[in-house]
Amino acid sequence: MSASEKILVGLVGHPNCGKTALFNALTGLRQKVANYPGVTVERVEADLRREWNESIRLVDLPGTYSLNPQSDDERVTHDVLLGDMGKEVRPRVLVIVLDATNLRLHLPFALEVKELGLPFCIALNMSDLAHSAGLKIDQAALEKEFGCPVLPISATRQEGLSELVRALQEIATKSGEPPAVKWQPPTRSEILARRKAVEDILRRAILAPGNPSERTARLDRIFLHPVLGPAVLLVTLFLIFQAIFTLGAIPTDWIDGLVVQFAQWTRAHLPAGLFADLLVDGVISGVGAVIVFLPQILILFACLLLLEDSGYMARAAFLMDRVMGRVGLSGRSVLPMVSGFACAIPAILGARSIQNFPQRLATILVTPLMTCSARLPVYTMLIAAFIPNKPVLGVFGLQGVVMTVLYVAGAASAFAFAALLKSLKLVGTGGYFLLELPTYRVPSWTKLIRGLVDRARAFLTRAGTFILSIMVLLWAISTFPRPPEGADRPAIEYSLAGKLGTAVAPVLAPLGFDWKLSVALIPGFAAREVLVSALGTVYAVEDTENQSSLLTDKLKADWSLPTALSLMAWYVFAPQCLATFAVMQREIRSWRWTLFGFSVLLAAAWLAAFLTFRLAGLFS
Amino acid sequence: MTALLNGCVVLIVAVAALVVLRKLLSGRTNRGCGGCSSCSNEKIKPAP
Repeated sequence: MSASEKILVGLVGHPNCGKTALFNALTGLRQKVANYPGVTVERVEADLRREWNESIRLVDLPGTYSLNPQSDDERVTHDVLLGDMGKEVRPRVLVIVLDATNLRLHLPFALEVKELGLPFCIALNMSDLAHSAGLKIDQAALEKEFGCPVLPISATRQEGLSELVRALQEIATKSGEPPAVKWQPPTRSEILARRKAVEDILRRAILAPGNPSERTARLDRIFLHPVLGPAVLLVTLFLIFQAIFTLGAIPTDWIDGLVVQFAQWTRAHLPAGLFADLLVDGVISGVGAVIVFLPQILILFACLLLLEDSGYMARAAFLMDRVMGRVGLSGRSVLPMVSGFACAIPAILGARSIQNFPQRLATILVTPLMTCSARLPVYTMLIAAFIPNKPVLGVFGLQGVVMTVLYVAGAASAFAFAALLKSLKLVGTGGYFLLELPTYRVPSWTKLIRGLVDRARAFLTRAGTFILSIMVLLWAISTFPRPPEGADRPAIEYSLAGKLGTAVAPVLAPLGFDWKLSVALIPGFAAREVLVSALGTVYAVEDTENQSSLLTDKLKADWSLPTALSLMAWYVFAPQCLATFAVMQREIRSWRWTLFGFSVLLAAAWLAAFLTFRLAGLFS
Repeated sequence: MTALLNGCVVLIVAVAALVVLRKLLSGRTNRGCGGCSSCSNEKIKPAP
């Protein structure tokens, strides 16, 4: 059966109601499940698992609080449900996903969707949490009120799914072409009438109110406290960066040792020549230099996933809201910017949830300054090589402290850039921020492991394809043309890369960057972490005698501390990821603003690196 | 043998150039960077 012949079923609900988790459970497709609103910015479609039904296809629509759209992603849901989205197929059946622990907030939306006249059923998600909190819901009463099946489920625990699928099959087989609807934004009196209807339904359907939020309220008294809250947030972030170094060091050393041994073994077993050089200097040194950072990347993501899944990330966003307002950003900017710690690209896409365009523009422009995971290999390499692991206050390591400073510098510069845009009146202010704070829950270990496996696979795939290809090309331009007969300088200086590096070097020399670093920075514009591989390849090609030494040792021998600090400062600001700016251009559809963002960051990087190099030079 | 290995080198460099060119032209260089599950789920598309 082709996709177009299948019955399309839409999943709708508030942001953070567990829609995406249900979609994953029903389809087996592992989409990112986050614990805060704004993650589903694109339409995602997949077949229902085959063992259940082969004729149903599900579409996961962006979360929305009502059918009256306030942002781009909410408009997608509105347009799809009303059949106003061009060639987009309108779903024939809907599953309205509600948070069972918070029906008062979710039922108005269910009533609104009911008025569309599409056949639907209701999935009461998080029923396990409701049950454990003593909340008793009369399922039959809700079914009577809505005239549809109401199924208690737990998407994360995969409970109640078979019953939901059975109900869905029954509705789907009876469904016909969706009826045409004329939708008008609700008037104030209609909204009030709907609220009153919800209170009536709750009176009939809630048998025991329970106290689902007692534990959450207790924890929030600490985590949202005006003084304790920010302190806990800072300590949490600080501990994450300490963990990256202390826990990551041992497996990183193992992988590093294996890479060096593998390079030596390959060199010993291949006839000397270009092919051996390509494998050892290009492939193994280049790709190996990035792969050694896998443990650190996984530790960072484990921490981010745990914070998301526990419900703490939404609190972090809430705490940051006040600071955001001061620099002219919307409270809605918090979530894209926090996800910028992982990668700027989904963060820029996540900014679609900001309805006010000037604020969305400001958020998009400052997001590349948030320290993304691709900077981690660069920072880790530089810190490991140049910062001694001295104890600070007897407990913490200096390396972790420096890493924290770099992360804070990224976030602080994002705020400073936003404040600058505000003071120059380049962007506007205003808008409101609505954030649902989810109930705290114990993170799911299976979800954590699945998330980490996905990220490890993605990281290694990238290292094995794109980074590998760039390294092969870099090796080629670092090797050819060959030096002339009787040449007295290292061969790389005669190569194309050597000439390119020498051409760029005068611009970067005031920052303390030599021509080899200049060469490595060029492919670094394709992706930030490529710098590490590129240095691995450039130094391997140059140093044909001492192949067994680690890259960090070679850098220590070749660079001064001011150069290393200057490179760290460069990386806080530099727009070293062209994909980010390609996505930025697509989202804001303005070359002028994209070039403005790129130029400002490039200038800031140069200036910050220059000042750091000069200041560090004075002290060292 | 050396000629064969050198031929392999040329082939590998050509394939690498094609891969990089394709990725850069598609504007999806960050797919699977490990920082973004959205990319690995094919969610990076132009704005609607």
